[in-house]
Amino acid sequence: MSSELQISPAIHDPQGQEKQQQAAGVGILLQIMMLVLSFVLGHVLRRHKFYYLPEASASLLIGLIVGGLANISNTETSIRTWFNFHDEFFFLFLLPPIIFQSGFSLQPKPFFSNFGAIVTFSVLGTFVASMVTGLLVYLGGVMFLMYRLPFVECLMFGSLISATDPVTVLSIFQELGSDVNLYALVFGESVLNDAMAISLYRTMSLVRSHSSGQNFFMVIVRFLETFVGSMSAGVGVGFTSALLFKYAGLDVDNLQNLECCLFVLFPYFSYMLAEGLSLSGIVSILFTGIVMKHYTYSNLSANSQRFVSAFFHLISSLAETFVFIYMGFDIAMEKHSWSHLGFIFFSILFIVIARAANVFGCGYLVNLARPAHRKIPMTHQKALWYSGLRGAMAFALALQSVHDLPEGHGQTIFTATTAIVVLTVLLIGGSTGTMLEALEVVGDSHDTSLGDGFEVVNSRYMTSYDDEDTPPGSGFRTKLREFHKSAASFTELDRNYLTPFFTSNNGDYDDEGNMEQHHEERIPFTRRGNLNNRG
Amino acid sequence: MEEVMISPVEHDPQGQVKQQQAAGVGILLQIMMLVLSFVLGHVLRRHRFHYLPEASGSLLIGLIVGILANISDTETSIRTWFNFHEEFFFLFLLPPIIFQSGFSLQPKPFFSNFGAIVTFAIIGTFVASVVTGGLVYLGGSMYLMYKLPFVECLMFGALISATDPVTVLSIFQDVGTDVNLYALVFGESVLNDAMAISLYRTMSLVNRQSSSGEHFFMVVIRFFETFAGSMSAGVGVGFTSALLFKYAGLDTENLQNLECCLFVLFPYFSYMLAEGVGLSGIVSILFTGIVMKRYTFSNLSEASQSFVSSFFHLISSLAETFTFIYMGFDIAMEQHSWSHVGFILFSILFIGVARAVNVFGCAYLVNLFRQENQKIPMKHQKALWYSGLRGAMAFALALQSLHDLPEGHGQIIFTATTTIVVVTVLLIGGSTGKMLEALEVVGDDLDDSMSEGFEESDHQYVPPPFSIGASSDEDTSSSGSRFKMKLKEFHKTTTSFTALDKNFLTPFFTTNSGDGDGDGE
Repeated sequence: MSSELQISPAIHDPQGQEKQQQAAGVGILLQIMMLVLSFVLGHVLRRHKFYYLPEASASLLIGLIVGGLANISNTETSIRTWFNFHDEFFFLFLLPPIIFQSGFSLQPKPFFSNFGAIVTFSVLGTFVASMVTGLLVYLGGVMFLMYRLPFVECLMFGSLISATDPVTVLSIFQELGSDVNLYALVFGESVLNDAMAISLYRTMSLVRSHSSGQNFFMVIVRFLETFVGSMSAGVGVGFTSALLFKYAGLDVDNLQNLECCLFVLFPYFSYMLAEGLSLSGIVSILFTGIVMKHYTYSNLSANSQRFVSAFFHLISSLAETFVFIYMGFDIAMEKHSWSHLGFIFFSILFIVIARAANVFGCGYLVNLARPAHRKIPMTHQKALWYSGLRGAMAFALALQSVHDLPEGHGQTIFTATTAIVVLTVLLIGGSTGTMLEALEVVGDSHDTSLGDGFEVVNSRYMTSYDDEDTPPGSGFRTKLREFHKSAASFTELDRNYLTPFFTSNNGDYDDEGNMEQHHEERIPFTRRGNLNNRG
Repeated sequence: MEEVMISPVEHDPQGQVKQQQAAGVGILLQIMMLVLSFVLGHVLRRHRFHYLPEASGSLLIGLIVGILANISDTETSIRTWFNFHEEFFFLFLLPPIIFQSGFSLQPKPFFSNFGAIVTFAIIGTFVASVVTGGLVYLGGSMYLMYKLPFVECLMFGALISATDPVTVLSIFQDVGTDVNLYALVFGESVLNDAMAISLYRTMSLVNRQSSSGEHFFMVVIRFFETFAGSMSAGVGVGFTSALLFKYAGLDTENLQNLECCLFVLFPYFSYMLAEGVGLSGIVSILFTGIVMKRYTFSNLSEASQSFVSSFFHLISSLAETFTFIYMGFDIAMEQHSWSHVGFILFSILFIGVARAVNVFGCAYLVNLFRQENQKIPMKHQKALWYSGLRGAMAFALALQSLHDLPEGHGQIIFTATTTIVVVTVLLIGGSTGKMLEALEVVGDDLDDSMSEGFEESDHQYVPPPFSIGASSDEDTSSSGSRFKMKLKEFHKTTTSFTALDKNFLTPFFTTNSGDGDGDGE
C-alpha cells in the first residue's frame, strides 16, 4: 500500500507496477525468511539450554545483521520501503495480538491474588519512574552533564522509556521455572505498564502542544479518564461477546468456523473502538482479553476452545518475533545522531535509578499493607528490578517522538531509546537466567510450581482476610486493606452474579467453575493445614 | 502507511493522533461489516434462503455502507482506509484464499477428473478469453460498442475470464450436489484464476512491447514458462516443507506452537518467492497447498493437524468475506464512466457466449476420449456454464488495468467489469440453488454423495493401469486419430503419476506409511 502511494500517478508504466509488486515480493520474502530463521534458531538454542541468547535477542540480532548487510549492499529503495518500521503498522496490526494474548493467557488466580501489588507497581510505579527519569534528565541537562531538553520533553522521554517489555524475560522465566508470585508480578507489571506508558506519553505530548498552561491536575484527570474509559470499553466488549456466544447457540459442530471467526474479530473490534474514540486501544484490548478468557471462552464448544487458544498463541508469537526482527532491521537502517553519547550514557544510568525507585518504593508500600507472611521478599524485588528491559513499545513511541518533536530533540531521544533497547535486550535478556539462579528464585519446574502455587496462593489469600480483625496500624494501611477487600468482594460478585449471567451453564463451565468450587470445599482443610504448618 | 501522505514538514502531534484515530474508525467500520455479514450469512443459511448467499450479502453490505459514506461526506482520512488497493489484495487477501483452495482440495475426485479440469481451466480459459476479446474487438469495429485496440480487447477478455469459486461452491455445499460436478466446478474456477492472471500479465506485456513486434508464439512460450516455473517453485517449496517436518522432529507435545508457526509461514513463503522471481505467486501457492496437504500435513502431530486446517479455513473465510465487502465499498466509492452502457451490455452477452464456447467445446473434447459411463452429462455441462460468476480476481485485475491502460480505456474496462461482477454475483449467486434444482443435479446430502463418490471414483480409478490400458486398446482399434492418442497419453501420465506417488513420493516425504495411509487411501 505504502509503496504505491509513491508512484506518481502520471506514469502509466506497467513495468513500474510490476516492479513494485516484485519488490514487495522480495521484501516480504526476506522478512519471512528471517522469521523462519529466528524461529528455528530460537528452537535450537532452547533445546541446547543456551540461555545467554534468548529468542527475542536472536531475532533482534538477525534483524540487525540483515539490516547492516542491506545497508552495505545498497539495496533498491523499493525493497527498502518494505522494511521501514511504520509505527502505525506496529500500533494497528502487530501490537493488538501481542497484548490480547497477554490478557488472554493470564493465569487469573495468581494475577488477581497479586492484583493490588501489580496495580501499584504498574500505575503508581510507572508514574514515579517516568517522573524520576524525566526530572533526572532535566536536571542533568541543567547541570550541563548532558544535552538539554525542555522539561515537558524530558517527561515524554521519561514516560516512553518506562515501558518495559514482557516478552524476553517471561519466556526465560517459563523456561527456568520460577516462583509463581514473582512470575505474576513481572508479567502483570510489564503488561499494564505498557498501557500506562503509552497513555502517559500521549498525555504529555498533548500537554506539549497545548502548553498554554493547563495545570498538572488536569493532566492526571485526563489520564484517569482515558484509562477508565478504555477499561470500561474493553470490559463492555468482552461482556457483549460473552452474551452473544451464550445466546447465539453457535456451539454446534458444523458452525465451528463461524464461531471462531466471530471470536477472533471481537478483540480487534475492542481495540479499534477504543482507538476510534481516541481512548487507549491497548488498555481496552487487554481487558477484553481478560474478560473474554474468563467468561466468553467457556461459552465456546470444546473444539473451538482448543483452536482459539492455539490461534492467539500462534498469532502473538508471530507478531512478537516479527516485531523484534523489524526493529533490528530498522535500527540498522535509520539515521542516528551519535553526537550525544553523554545523553545516552546518563539516561541509561537514570532509568536504572528510576526503576529502583519504582520497584523498591512500591515494594515497600505493598509490604506495608501485606501481612507478614505474604510480604514480597527482597530477592523478588531485586529480580523485578533487574527484569526491566525495554522493547518494542519504547521503540515505537520513540519513533513517534521523531514526528512529534522538533528535529534535533526527537532524533536525540530516538537514538538514546534505540541504544537502550539494544543494550537491555541483549545484556539483560542474556543474563536473566544467571540472575535468577544467583537470586535463588528458580523453581524446579514451572508447571508444578504453578500448580502448587495456585493452592498455596489461594489459601494464603483467604487467610489474609481472616487476619483482618487485627487492629489496623495506620490510616493508610486501612485504605490499602479496603482496596484489598474490594478485590475480594469482586471475587464474590464474580462467582455469584457475573459467572452465572455471562456463561452458558455450570456443567460446561467445569474447567474453571469446578476448580473454584473445589477450592471452596477444600479451603477449610488447606487453611488448617497451613496454620498447622506455620504454628 | 498513511504516513507517507502526511507531509513531513508538519510536526503536529495532533495530526498524528488524528491519523491514528481515523485509521481506528475505518478499521472499526470494516470489522463491524465483517461481523454483520457473518451473522447475516449465518441467519440466511439457517433459514435456507438461497437467494442471497453470503458473498452477495457481503457485497451488498459493502455497497450500502459505501453509498451511505458517499452521501454523508466522510472525512477523506477515513475514506482512504476503504479504497481497494490491489496491492493489498494481491499480497495479503488473495494468498490465503488460494492456498485454502489447494489445501482443502479433495484429492480423489479432483485427481480422477484431473484431465477434464486441466482442459477446462487451461484450454477453456484461453479459448474463452480469446473469444471474448475477439468478439469485443469485432463489436468495436462494427460500431456496436466502444472500440478498443485489439490487445486491450484481449486483456479485457483475459481479466473477465477469471471465475470466482466462492459463492457457487458454498451453495453447492449447502444444497449438496454430485461429487464430480463439484470437483469440476471447484477445480476449474481455482486453476482458472491462475490462468487468467498469467494471461492478463502476458497480454499487458505484449501491450507494452507491441512496437517491438513479438509474435504470438513467443507469448505462448512465455506463458508456459511462467506457469511451469511457478508450479515447480510451489511444488518445490511444498516438498521442502515436507522434508523439514519429517526430519525436524517437531511433532512432540510442547512444540505445537513452533510447528504451526513454521507450517503457516511456508505457503506465504512460496507465494512471495514466486512473486519475487517475477513468476505467478497464485499458481505457486496453489500447488504448495496441494503438496502440503498431501505430504507435509501427515508429518504434523495430530493436534497441529486439526489446528492447521481450522486455521487456514478461518483465515481464508475472513479474507473472502472481507474481499467482497471491500469490493462492494470500493464500487460505491469509485468514479465510473457510465457513458458506454452499450459496451457493458454487449460484453455481458459476449462473456455468456465465450463461456458457452469454453464449457461445451472443452466438454466435447473431454467426452471424446472418456468411456461411455464416464462422460460428462449435458446437465453437468449446463451447470458448469451457469456457474461462471465473476468475482474479486476480475475486479482486482480491472483495477490494475486502470494503471496499465490510458485513462479512458482503463476506465471503461473497469466500469464494465464492476457491473459484470455485481450483476453476476447478485443474479447468478442468487439463482444457483434454483438452477441446480431445475437441472436435477441436487443430491440429498453432500457428505453422503461425497463418500459414495469417493468409492465410486476409487473403483473407476484404482485399477487404472489396467482399465485405461484396456480401453486404449479398444479405442485405437475404433478410431485412429492422433489427437486422441495424445490425449490418452496425457491420461496415462496421470495414472503413472499415481503409481509414482504411491511407491516413491509418499514414502519419501511422509513419516511412516501407516500415518500416510490416512490420506493415501
